[in-house]
Amino acid sequence: MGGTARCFVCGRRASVYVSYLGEYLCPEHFVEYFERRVRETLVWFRLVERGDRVAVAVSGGKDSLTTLYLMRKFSEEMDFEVFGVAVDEGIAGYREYKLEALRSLAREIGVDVHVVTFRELFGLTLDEAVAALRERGFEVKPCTVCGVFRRYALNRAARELGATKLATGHNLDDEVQVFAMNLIKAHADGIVREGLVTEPASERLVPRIKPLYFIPEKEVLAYTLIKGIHTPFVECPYIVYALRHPIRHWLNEVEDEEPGAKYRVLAFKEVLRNALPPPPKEMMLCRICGEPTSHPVCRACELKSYILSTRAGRDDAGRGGRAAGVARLPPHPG
Amino acid sequence: MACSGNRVVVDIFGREVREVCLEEGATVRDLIKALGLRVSEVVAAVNGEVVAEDEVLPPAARVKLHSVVSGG
Repeated sequence: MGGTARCFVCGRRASVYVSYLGEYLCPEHFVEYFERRVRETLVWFRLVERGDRVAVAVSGGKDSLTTLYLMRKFSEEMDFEVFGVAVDEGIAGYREYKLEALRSLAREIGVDVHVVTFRELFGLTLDEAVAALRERGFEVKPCTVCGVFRRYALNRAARELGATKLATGHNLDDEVQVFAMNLIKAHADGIVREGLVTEPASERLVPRIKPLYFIPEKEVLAYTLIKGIHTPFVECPYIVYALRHPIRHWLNEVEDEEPGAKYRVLAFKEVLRNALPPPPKEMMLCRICGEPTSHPVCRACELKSYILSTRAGRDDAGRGGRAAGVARLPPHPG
Repeated sequence: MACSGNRVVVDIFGREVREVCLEEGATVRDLIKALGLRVSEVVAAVNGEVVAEDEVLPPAARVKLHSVVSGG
C-alpha cells in the first residue's frame, strides 16, 4: 500500500488535496498555487492600482489575517500602501483573543493596525446590544446588528484614515453562503451588490475589494497552518443565531459529494448578477449621523435607536416606571 | 478496550482528545468520517504535519483536527 499522497508537481509528500482539480500538492507548491491565485485576482480584476492606500478589515480570524499578510507581501512589488482596521464589537471571551493574534502578526510583518470600538461609535457593546435584542425575542438577530455596525465602522474608519480601497477577507465559501441566504430571502439587491468589487455609490463610501473571493475556506486554513499564521480557535458565541450556520454545513455536505459545486454556484451568481437590474445608485446622507445611506435614516442609526429604546425601557422599568415610548422600528431586510 | 487495527489519538479542534480504533490502512478521510465530521470542514495534521485526506494513517498516529468553520 502506498500510504502517502504525492504532490503532482514534484512527487513529494502532499499536504493538500485540491478536490475540484483532483490533484495533490506539497506545502511548497500549495503555497505557490494559493498565492498566485490571490495575486492574479488582484491584477486581473484590477482590485488595486499603483498608489492605492489599502485598508484591510481585520478581525484576527484566518481569512482576514491571510488577507493582511498577502496584501503586505504584494504591496511593494505592486506599489500600494497597506494598513489594518479592526473593529472591537465588545464580545467578551472572543474578540480579545482574535485581536491578540492580529497584533502579533501585524508586528511581525510591520503593518499598522487601527482599532475602533462599537462602544465609541454606538455607545454600547455587542454583548449589551444582544441583551436588549433578547428582551424582544430576537426579532432582530445579533448577526444583523453586528454586520450593519461593522460595515458602518469599517467604512468610516477607512475613509477617515485616507484609504482608497477597503479589502475584506471574504472567501469563496462566504460568497456562496451569502448568495444562498439572499436567494432564501428573495433579496435580489443583495445578490447584485455582493461581488468581487463593490462599486461606490457615494464618495463617502470606500470601494470594497475581496482578494480571497475565489479561494475555498478550507484552503485558507491549510495556508495559515503551513505558513504558521497563528489564529486562535474561538467561535463567536452568537453564530448559533445565524441563518448562515445551517447553510454553510449544507453547502459543505454538497461540496463533499460534488467537488467543485461551490465554484459552479459562484459562477451562476455572476450570471445572475449580470442579468438582474442594478440597485438604485442615488445615495443621501443620514439625517442623524451624516453617513451615506439609501434611506433618510441609515440602518445603523435605526438599529441603534431600536436597541437603545429597549435598554431605556428596561431602565424605566427598573425605576418603577413603564417601558413607554419604546421605538418599534420595523427592521427592513438585510 | 482492545484494538486489533490501528489505534490513533485525535485532538478534535482543541476541544477534546480521543482514542479511535481504525482498520489497518485507514486514511485521514476514514477517520474524519468515523468521527461524523465533514471532510470539507476539517484540515488534519498527522504527527505535526498538515496532510491530505487520502494519507494512510501510520500506526499509533497523533492526529490534530483543525476546524475550517470558525466565525471571523
